[in-house]
This record gives sequence, structure tokens and C-alpha cells, in this order.
Amino acid sequence: MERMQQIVGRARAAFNSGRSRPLEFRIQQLKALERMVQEKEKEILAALKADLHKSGPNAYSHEILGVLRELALAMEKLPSWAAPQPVRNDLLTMRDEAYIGYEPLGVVLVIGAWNYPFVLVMQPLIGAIAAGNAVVVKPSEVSENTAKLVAELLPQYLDKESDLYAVVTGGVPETTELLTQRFDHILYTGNTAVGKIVMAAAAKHLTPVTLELGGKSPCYIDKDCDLAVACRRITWGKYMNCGQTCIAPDYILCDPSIQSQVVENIKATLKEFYGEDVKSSPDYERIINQRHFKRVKSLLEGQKIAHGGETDEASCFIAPTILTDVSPESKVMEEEIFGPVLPIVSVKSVEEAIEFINRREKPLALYVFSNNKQLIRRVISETSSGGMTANDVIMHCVVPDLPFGGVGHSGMGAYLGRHSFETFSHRRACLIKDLRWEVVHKVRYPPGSMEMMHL
Amino acid sequence: NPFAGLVSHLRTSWLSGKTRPMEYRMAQLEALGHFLDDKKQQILEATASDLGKAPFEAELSEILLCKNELHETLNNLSRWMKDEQVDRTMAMQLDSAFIRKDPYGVVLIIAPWNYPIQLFLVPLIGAIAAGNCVIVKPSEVSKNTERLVAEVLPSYLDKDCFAVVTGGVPETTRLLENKFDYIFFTGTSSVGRIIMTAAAKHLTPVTLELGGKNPCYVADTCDVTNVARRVAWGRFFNAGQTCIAPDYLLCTIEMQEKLLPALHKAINDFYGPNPRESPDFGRIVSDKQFQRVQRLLGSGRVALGGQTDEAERYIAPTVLVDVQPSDPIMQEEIFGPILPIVIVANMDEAIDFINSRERPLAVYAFSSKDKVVNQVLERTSSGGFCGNDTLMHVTLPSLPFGGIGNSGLGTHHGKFSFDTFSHHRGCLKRGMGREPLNGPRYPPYSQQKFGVIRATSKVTRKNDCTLL
Repeated sequence: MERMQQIVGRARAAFNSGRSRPLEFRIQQLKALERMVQEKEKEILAALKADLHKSGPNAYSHEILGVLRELALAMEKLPSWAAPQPVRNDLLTMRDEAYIGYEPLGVVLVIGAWNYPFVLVMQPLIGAIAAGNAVVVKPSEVSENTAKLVAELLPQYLDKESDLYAVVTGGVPETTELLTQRFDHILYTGNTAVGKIVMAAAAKHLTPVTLELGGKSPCYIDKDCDLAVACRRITWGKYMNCGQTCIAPDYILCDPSIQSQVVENIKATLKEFYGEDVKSSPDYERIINQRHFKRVKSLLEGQKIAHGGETDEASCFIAPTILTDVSPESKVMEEEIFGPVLPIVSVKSVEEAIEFINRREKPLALYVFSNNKQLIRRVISETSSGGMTANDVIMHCVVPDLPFGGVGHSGMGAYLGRHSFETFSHRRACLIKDLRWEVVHKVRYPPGSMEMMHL
Repeated sequence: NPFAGLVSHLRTSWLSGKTRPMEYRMAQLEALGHFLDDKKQQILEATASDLGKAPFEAELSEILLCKNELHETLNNLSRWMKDEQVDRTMAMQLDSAFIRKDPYGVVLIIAPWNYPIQLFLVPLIGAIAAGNCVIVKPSEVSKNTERLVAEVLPSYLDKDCFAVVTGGVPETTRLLENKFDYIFFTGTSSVGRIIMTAAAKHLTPVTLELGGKNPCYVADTCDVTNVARRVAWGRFFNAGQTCIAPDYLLCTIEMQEKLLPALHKAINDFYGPNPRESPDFGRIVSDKQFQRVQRLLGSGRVALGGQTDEAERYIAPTVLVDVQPSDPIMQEEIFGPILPIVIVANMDEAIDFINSRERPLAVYAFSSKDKVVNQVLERTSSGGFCGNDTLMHVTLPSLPFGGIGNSGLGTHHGKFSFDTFSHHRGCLKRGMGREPLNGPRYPPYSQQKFGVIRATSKVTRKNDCTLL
């Protein structure tokens, strides 16, 4: 308890000194992070390989690239993001200066997740630093190699002269303790159940939160679409990182008449991607640990396996698997799969698909494949989700200016790019008046007269 | 769960999509305008009964400000609702990327008693504009207004999508057992914690407009007459029951000597020699609040005012001096017509004083020197800031209104209300063609493929040494 109190207390004292506010200082830190990523690329890739069996180019493009992109964007745009924003005056404030000032919040807590362990800690950290805050980072202990590396590297590269930035490692007990401290913003990436715990802890201090959670992201495939292309794109997004992606297409909704075509197309694509023997492909990852392996494997019970289904507990390997004729009430349709298992649920129409989606919790992402623009518009307008992509998967989260976040059980708040800067800043309304021109104010003072009122 | 049926009914209406079309939202908003016009007299009477609100104050804060918000919203709604197109990377030039403003669903608005119409109506305007269904829970403390709203408002709005729920703490507690898609609460920090804890059970996002002690620093160099008028106006409006009222004053002993006669004159100009007889000075809302505020008169020494009348719940516009930071009046938000003056040696001491306390909803600084005003602004943190005046920053719909830390989270007013009650959904529409362009991202991975990805998706730095 004392250790956490000290860490947060020191970060707060450092923040109160004003050290993290000047833009030059913030950019210096971002530059240092850029150097860190470039100089320690090998170590970062090695950690990701050890944690998730991620291959080099894969890890680079899914984690390091995203971090470098976020850094470049923040460094370039920071002056314009941080500039006070003048606003429209009205008649009474004509002579005055009215603007919105962007100010740091204070001490930010970033809690990372294990599935993209580097980028999910770095991207929020970049936003929090850009906004001028002190930051405490708590990487996920499940991806232990990356956690250890982050704990080693950040103090080496970030401001050594102060206690502004700290890394706390550990599991549930340490996180629980950390959450009793007072922060000025908490960004948590993880699951819905823990999201509730984080928000309840934050409520005690009235701390605003950004919760990046999960859910079952549906993928509707219309009869009218290029099935080969659709299935290739879906296969890519579903099985990357062995299905352990919060915005992976969780399940497919389609007409029963195209189900077998969908299966055939995905099978063909899987062969193209991973070869005949998936297990020996350097590009196919593993389930993070035994607990999750068992969890995902149990979802296969009683299901019709159209492809895949092979598992190997020793290496936490689960083959890319497709399930057909899945019942909406089965276990695999209850929880977020977070594994390489793709259920196909039959629906007879887009109306049925929309209804199916709306009966369930709002997902983090929603996907629809169709040549029919009207149908796509309809699906967007009649559903709700954190974000969505039409005719592809995953990609909405790489558009730099789109906010990345959930809604309902899939989360609250958003970040990435300028949305990070805004999330980690306080927008302060500022009105600077003159002490003269008192005559303008006479109208508002008592004794009130109704004629003055109607001026 | 006594409210389950109501919430479920609203959720069914929400799922029907009824509240989404712009025409529907505009019609409901126009109806709110009619409510304000038709029932103006009743609103003035109800707020007068509840708070002794002067008709002038009531018309300004309960009617005019609401109509401004309404007009701002009606004028801009179609623009606010439009999808916001965003920049794309080189690889996505042929795609469509935009932010869609989706309604949340069923929203709960819990309002306080001090501006009993404004503080539910302004958020309601935002919630309706954003396409939600809404349950409004007005304060039971301002009971005449509560009754008016419960009896009259539903007949102006679509009963399938909007409802008013009345009651006190027990009813609000039961109401909070239900799942809402957004909760907007205005009230005290301690209840704010309770609301957020309840919201956490359902992962319901919240906006909390809370309070605190808003400091008001008066520098030595200033036009004392004008300062006194502006501070007195902000402090005594609504008998001090304003979340953004200047709560306490910080100044040097020399300035205090100049301010006291100026404040005396301002109070006299505003309310006459006996404010109790002025139709323009309000009353405390309840016996409980009256007793709470009256107790605070014991801090320091009464320099101006100090008279009270329990039967009328009248507390005179009062200024206290010789106030110590440890006195009871400096431990809680006053929310009454008492202005304590705390002596500081200089601006630095004032800033340190402000920063040693919880971050307030507003910070005020008065000085004829721009530099002084800017120093206070830059070296403190608060929801909002106003230099050389009080209250006025919240009358501009183009400025966000909200707190920080204990004074709240989230913002509203104008477009900020619309944004608060909308989920900003990142959307990307791609084409099915040009599949070969996706080639580099698929396994089997290779350095060559990777080179293509890097080239087409990175953000290049325009200037390397912009600042350093």
C-alpha cells in the first residue's frame, strides 16, 4: 500500500512542479520514446515472440508500426492540439476574449492488456505525455516478457530527473492496491468484468475513466458480395494473433445458402496464409497461456467443426477453426471468443441480422460485407457499436483521426491520435473580460426591470 | 424494481428507432420551446415559491438561458448530426472514413433544486438533440417546480420516449438499479460518487456537474467599484445558491479596506437599504439548507449584513472578515449569500492557497493588469475561468461547461451537450475491389511485404525540429 502511495505521490509532486507542461519537454519525451522503439526494436520483438509466438514482420506491423505512427502524429500535431481554441462570442461578450484552453489533468494511470502488450501500453502513454500529464503505467502481467521489458526500458528513456513517469508491475493484488490511489484519469484496456471494478474504484475519487473493453463483434456477410475477397479479409482479421484481438470479427452471420461457400473460401485462404501445416507456419501465433487455452478449447464442445479443431496443450496451439450451424444459445455465442474459433450463425435476412445484433450487448466493432451500399447504410444506422468497418475488418482502427473506443459493455471514451490528446486533457472554458465598460453590465444588475430583460 | 417497466418501455421505443430522425428531434425540441413560452408564468411562480426567485432572475436563468440553448441547438442540429469526414492515409484514399454520431439509448438526467428548470432542461435539450429517450428526475427539494414539471412537461413530449420521475433519495436509489445508457447528474460531489458507483455496475458513462469552493482573487490594482459590483452580483444572485458563484474572496488587507465600502454600495444599489424588502433578492430553498448556511455565519466577523429570518428563510447579503482557512465556512461550499474574505499577502500566496485545495468549478481573478489575470489562469486548475467578472463564462454556448476533479467530469452546453449525449463511432467504408492492394498485409509475412505496408501507412514528419 505504502509503495503505491509513494509512487503516485511522487508522480503528483512532480506534476505539480509544472515540469511536464512545456511543449518542448513533452516533445523531448516523445522523441525519447521514438529512440527507444528504434534502438530496442530487437528486444521488443523478442519479448513479443516469447509472449505470443509472434513473428518478426507481424509483430513489427501490428505493434511497433502503430507506436511509431502515434509518436510521429503527436510530435507533429502537438502545437496545434495544445493551442487555445477561440470560440464564438455573443453580444454581451463582444469585447472579451473567450477560448477553450487545453490543460493536463494531472496523474494518469494506464493499465495495459496482454494481447497487444506493447502497443496497448505505449499508445495511451504517448497521448498522456503529449497532453502534459505524469503517467503511471501498469503493463499486463500475463504477457510477462513484455511487461518486464517495458519496466526496464521506460525509466531508461523517459525523464530521469523526475518521478513523472513510473512503471508498476504485478498482478491482481498490485493492481487492486494501485486502484485505491487517486488518479486524474484512468485508461484501462481489458475485459468487461474488470472494467466495472476499475470504474467503481475510480468513482471513489471521481476519476474520469476510459475503458477499452470487448464483446462479440459480429460480421454480417450479405449474399450480394464478392465472397472470395470478403472471406480473405475476414480470415486475416479473425486469425491474426491467434484470434486474440479485441476487434476481431467474433462470429459470422449469413444466409444458410452461402454457409458452405464461406467455409470453403476461408479454408482456401487459410491454406494460402499458413500453408498445409499451420502448426509449423512461423506466422501463426499461440494462445497466451494454459488458462485461456482451456477456455477456448471448451467452446468447441458439442459444436459442428467444419474445419480445424486440432489442439496441442503443451504449446497452447489451437488450429484455425470454423464452426457451422451454431446455436445462438451455445457457450461459444455467450462470451467473447478471443481465440481462433469462428462460429457461423444462420440468419435469413439483414433484418434478422440487425435484430440479432441489437438483442445483444453493444460490441466494440461491427462488420458488414456487401456490394449493396444501401444495405451497408442501413446496418450502420440501425445498430450501435464502438466502431465499424464495411467490406473489411480491423481497419477502422488504423485511420489516424477516427476515435477508437467502445460503447455500452464494450467500453466508454476513446483514444488514438487527437482523441488521445483530448481524453487526457481538461478543456477549460476561459473568458477574459475588461474591468472597464461597466455600462454594458448595468442591464444585468438589480433592481431588475422587465424592459431591460427584453432588450 | 418499481421503475423496470418504465425503463423497459422507453428502451423498446428506443429500439424502434423512433427518436433518430432529425425531424422527430426538432419537433420534440420545438415542443420544449412551447413549454417555456406557454408555462412561463407558472415557472416564474413555482421558482418564486421554491426559492423566492426574483422574476428578473427567474426569467434570465430559467427561461432566457434555456431558450438560447434551444435556439442554438435548433439552428445547428442538422450540421451537428452530419457524419464528420476525417483525413485518410495514402492507402485509404478511395475509402470513406467518418465519425457517426449515434444516440446512446435511454438517458437519465438527475437535476438539482437551485436552477430547477435550467438544470434539467439544458441537458434534456442535448439528450433529445442527440436522439435519445430520456427520463428526467427533477429535485424533490424544489417541490413546486417538481410538481409543475411532473404534471405539465410530459404532455408536451412524446410519452413513449420521455418521462418524468419524481421522488427523493429512496426513489432515486431504486431508479439507479436500472441500466441506463447515459447518466447526467448535477449536484454535490458526495452524491456524485454514489451515482458513479451505481453507474459502474452497468458500465454506464456519466457526466457529473458537481461543485466546490470557487475562489475569487482581487488584486491590488483594479477598479474597486466595478469589481465590487460584479462580485456582489455573482455572489448574491439566487441568494448565493449557484454552483459557479464566487464562494470566497482572496485579497490583501489594503484591498479589503477599499472593497468593503464598495461592496456595501453595490449591495445597496442592488437591493436597497433593506434587502429583505427587495423583490430582487431570493430566499434559501429549505429549512435544512437555511440552518446549514446560518451556522456558517459564526465564522470570522460580520462586516456587512448578517441578518436572518428563519420564517422566511431569509439570510441577508453578508460579507465576513477575519476569516481563517480553518474556519467552518472554509470547509464546505457555502451555497448561500455569504462572502468570506480571506487575507493573503500577494498573488503568489493566493495561487498557493487555491492550489492547496480541491479543484473548483470556477476560478475568478480581478485585476486591471492582464499579466495578473493570466498568471492566476495559468497557475491554477478549475472547470472554467473568468477574468474580471463572475458567472459569465457559462452564458456562452460556445464554451464547454464542466468541472475537474471533485468539481466534476464531462461537459455540456451548446454543441458540447450534443457531443456528450452521442457516441462518436469511428466508421470506415471500403470497396471490395483492389484486393491486390491488401496483399502485403496477409501472411506468409516477408520483409518485402512489410516494406510496402510501412511505405503506404506511415505518417511522415514534416518538420524535424519544429520546437527545439
